[in-house]
Amino acid sequence: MFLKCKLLAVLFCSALFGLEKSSPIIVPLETVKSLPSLYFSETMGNGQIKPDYKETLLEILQEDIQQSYHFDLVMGKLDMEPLVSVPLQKQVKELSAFKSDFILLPKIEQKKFILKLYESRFHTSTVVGEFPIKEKLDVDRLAMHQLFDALHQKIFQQSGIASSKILFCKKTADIDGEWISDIYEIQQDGSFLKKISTSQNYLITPIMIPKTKTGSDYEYLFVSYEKGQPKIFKGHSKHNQSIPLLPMRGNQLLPALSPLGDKIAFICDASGKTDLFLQQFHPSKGAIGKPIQLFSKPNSTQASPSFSPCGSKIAFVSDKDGSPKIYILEIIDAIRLQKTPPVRLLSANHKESTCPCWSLDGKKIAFCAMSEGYRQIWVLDLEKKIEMPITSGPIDKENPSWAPDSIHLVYNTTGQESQIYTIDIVKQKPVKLTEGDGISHFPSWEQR
Amino acid sequence: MRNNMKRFYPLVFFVLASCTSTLNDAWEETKTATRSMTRQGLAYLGLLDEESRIVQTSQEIYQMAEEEFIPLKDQDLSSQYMDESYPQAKENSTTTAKRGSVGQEQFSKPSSTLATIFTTVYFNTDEHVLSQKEYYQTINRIASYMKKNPHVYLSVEGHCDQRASEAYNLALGTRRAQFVRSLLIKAGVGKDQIHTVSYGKERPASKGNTKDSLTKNRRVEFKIFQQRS
Repeated sequence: MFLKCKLLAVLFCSALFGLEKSSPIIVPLETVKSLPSLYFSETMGNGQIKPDYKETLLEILQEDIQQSYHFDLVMGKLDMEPLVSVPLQKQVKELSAFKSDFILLPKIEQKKFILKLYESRFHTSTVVGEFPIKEKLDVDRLAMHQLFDALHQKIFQQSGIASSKILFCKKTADIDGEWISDIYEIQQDGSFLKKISTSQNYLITPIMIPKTKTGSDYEYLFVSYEKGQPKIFKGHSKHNQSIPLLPMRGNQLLPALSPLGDKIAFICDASGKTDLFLQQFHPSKGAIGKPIQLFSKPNSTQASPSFSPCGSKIAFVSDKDGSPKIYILEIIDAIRLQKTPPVRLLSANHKESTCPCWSLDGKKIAFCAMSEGYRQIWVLDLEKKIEMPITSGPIDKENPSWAPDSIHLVYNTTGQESQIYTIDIVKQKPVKLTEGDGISHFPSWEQR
Repeated sequence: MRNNMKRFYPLVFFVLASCTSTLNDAWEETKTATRSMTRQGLAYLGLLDEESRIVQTSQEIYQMAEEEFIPLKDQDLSSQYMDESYPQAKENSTTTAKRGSVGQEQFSKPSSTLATIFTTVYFNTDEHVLSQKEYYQTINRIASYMKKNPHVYLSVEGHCDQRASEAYNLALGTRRAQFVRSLLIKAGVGKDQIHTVSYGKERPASKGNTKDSLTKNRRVEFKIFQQRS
């Protein structure tokens, strides 16, 4: 009774003194950001290039834009060049009715492809880049991919993935029937397949170290059986030399690099148990200090670590509770307590889940789990707590690795044929990258 | 009475799991749950893998670890290291130096005269512990030979079948090889004479998905290197 009176008194007073007027008015804001619109002006001269070839080049650029899922693309035949070239005052007037955020102005001058971008917001047009047209499709396609990535960088301050590379290893039998395994690189569109290792040994699980300098050279981590036991090495894409990373006994397996490139997680049985370890790392200096034992349990196997984007958490596989499942640990817990830290089970929906890979946006974890009798690639949305298979069909798939855009994935099939595929989580249509004999597996997408 | 109740746990679990999943899923979940409960029960009673109960002293573990890595310092360290945990041989001062920095390629399959001693041993699905008595006899034969021939070095290679994922199998292969190594050390073979290598499912002995093929691939193979005196 007393409470009711008190409540009524408060309401009366607030109405009387107009207190309700000072309380904040909550206006719900749109939380889903719409994609920026991009008008792609197809009208341009042929220069000294055949019209068919020009069309092919434009298709490549158009495909890159569409596959990025970052633009609301509008293709048009309007020649925008005269409009954006006029003085600013007239330009504003002419283009005010034009609703696109950006206008893309490709142009061919003689044998040079030039890409201009008009930004409606600032009424400015700038040259994104240019390249000489060689009329060799593979070469020009790569140049166009690089041009698109520069465009992406200009608009979003983050490079696109069109010209990114994928590393993988390919197992073949040598003349004596002995298995050897080499490391290859391939463009994400399946072009420019190139062997980068020459050791005639057994090399697996390559991962590219984020570049600190511009250029096509890069360094990568991999596991080699050259010394008998598998050990983690650092190699170079051009120089045929590799150096062991850690002076640590035992089998060193499944290295994972943090997105910032400052930490490596790996699996090692130095203690006699198959444990998870962490190593501080510098791209040019290599390993810094001693590895730290992060997770160890009696009668259990740990595998497949993958870092969260900020490098503070690790998703990994453990069979500590029976079958292999994915768990997440906080690195700081293990280091601070110097104890096996508590871990969180990622998903209890599968009797077996392996190969976790954390997306660079931190919102998703790709992994392998069985679906209708076959191992498929699944993606767990960490925000919505929804998981769904991305692949299907009667063949096993493994080893998913995210592209830097957190939309595309690369993985390999196993069983009857082991080949490398890419897929995007929007259309979910797989694209086969490799062909031929041998077993292609353990793909890893370049991190930028 | 309480123990009798425990016998029905898997059955109860199977019934509960059946309510939410397909029959196959429920069966797999039940198998996993049963295995886990059995392990926990045996560990509680102190009967877990009698052959693999090799307790290291804290001092020994830390001494090895602190040279090369920063170990976890759990209070129950002795229980952490109660399974098949003989630390790997240190490379620079022991095996590698003694055998003259030989690579894996210099380890070879035992010759026909030794092939009857170093026979391959096989594992049950998703297990790292040998179950059949004949394999323990194999281990004893190998241990006797190794003790008589201290200049022989052994590479214990752990392999898996193709059903689990490639990455997980690489890790599982280490455990199978470690288990066999621990049995050999326990039987008196020098720690530095043996090292382990995991190949996961990279090098199958038999292609195909038949039960026979899968069984042939879940194995530990032996390769030897004899140092010239």
